[in-house]
Amino acid sequence: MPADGLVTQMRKGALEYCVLALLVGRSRYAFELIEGLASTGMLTSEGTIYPLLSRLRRDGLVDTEWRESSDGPPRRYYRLTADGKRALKVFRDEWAGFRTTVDAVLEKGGTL
Amino acid sequence: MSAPHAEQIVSGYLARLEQALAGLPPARRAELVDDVRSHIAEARRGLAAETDADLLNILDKLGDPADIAADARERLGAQPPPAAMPLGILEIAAIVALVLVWPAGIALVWLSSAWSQRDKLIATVFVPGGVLALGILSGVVGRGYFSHFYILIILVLITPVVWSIGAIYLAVRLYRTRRGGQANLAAADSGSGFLEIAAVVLTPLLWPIGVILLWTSTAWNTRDKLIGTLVPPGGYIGVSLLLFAPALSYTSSSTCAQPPTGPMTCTYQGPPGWLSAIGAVVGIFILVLPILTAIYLGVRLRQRNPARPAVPA
Repeated sequence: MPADGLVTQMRKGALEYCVLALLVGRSRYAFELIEGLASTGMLTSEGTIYPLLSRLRRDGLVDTEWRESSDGPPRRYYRLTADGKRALKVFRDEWAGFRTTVDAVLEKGGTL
Repeated sequence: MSAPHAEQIVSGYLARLEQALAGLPPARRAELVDDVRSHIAEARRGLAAETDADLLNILDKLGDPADIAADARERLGAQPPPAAMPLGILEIAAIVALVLVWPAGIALVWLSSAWSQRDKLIATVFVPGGVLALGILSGVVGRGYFSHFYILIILVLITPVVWSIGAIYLAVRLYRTRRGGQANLAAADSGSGFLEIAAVVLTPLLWPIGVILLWTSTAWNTRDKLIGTLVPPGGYIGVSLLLFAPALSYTSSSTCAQPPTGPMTCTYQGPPGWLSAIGAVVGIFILVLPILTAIYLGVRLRQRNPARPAVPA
């Protein structure tokens, strides 16, 4: 179904920015990010967060740092970079405009 | 405590993931498998008394390895398949020329993007001079600089072996890279750092080392590098060898004969006058060239700095 495919793609695309948003103000390790996203239903299988994080890192939107944990092996923490903050800001603005436009068209529909 | 079949369940999952990730660059693949392994360890930390079912639930939530791999391929971009890299005529020519005509071979090696910087350095160091140098070397050795015959034999036997190792190494690396489907193009920082200055200084003096540094730097483009490599062929080491060889083959000598009757006649055997003159001109030219090249490289370096980023070779 095309609509279903579109929603999947939109969710995938938006997920990147949701992860960036979760990193605003504090760095987190992958497991925390998964917990943060669990209630949203955006992450259908938890494992897909890892290719996403790898991509964000490759694009320089996040950087990583290993930190010792009190109860086990070290954890890799993800942190927003300046580029990441910029990308998130651009998305926020775009998203707001996009949502407003689509909402308007969907509500008014044939009356436009 | 670990679940009864914990090891089996977890390693089975990771193996399936690794397999599903085939085609991604090895580094990405290893990173993703490591991430997922850490994830499983993290999830198991929260369990007081884990059962096999707990583990299976963790893996279920992680998702099907095939799904993760599909997502990875999409997010990390489809890497060009190994076949996309054409069977390089350039690379084959480089390997052949390396053994026969060293400077040309080295130039081709450095022009190709099939090898990494490290491979190229190894090839340059391990294949010093090709058959060209072997000729000069055996010429020098044969002229009695080393009177021991077996030294010559050892040199003649060993040097081609060393070059062949260099050429074979390159060939193997080429094969591996093609199979891996990933041209390792390490981009170093540009600028007129220590490396570049050393390259400019050493190119005329210690040619092989200077040329290696020249090609290691990203501050020059390929054309500059080729000029820097080929114009002073051998730097002053090469020049002195070159000047040696004709001088050795043209040892001037005078033979005198006195017939029973008449005056003694002497015949002078040496380089003819015109050859000496040409030799002198060529000699001066050759002596000046490396300096000119070093100056050229220095000028190019200045032009490039600091505003424009270097064009990677």
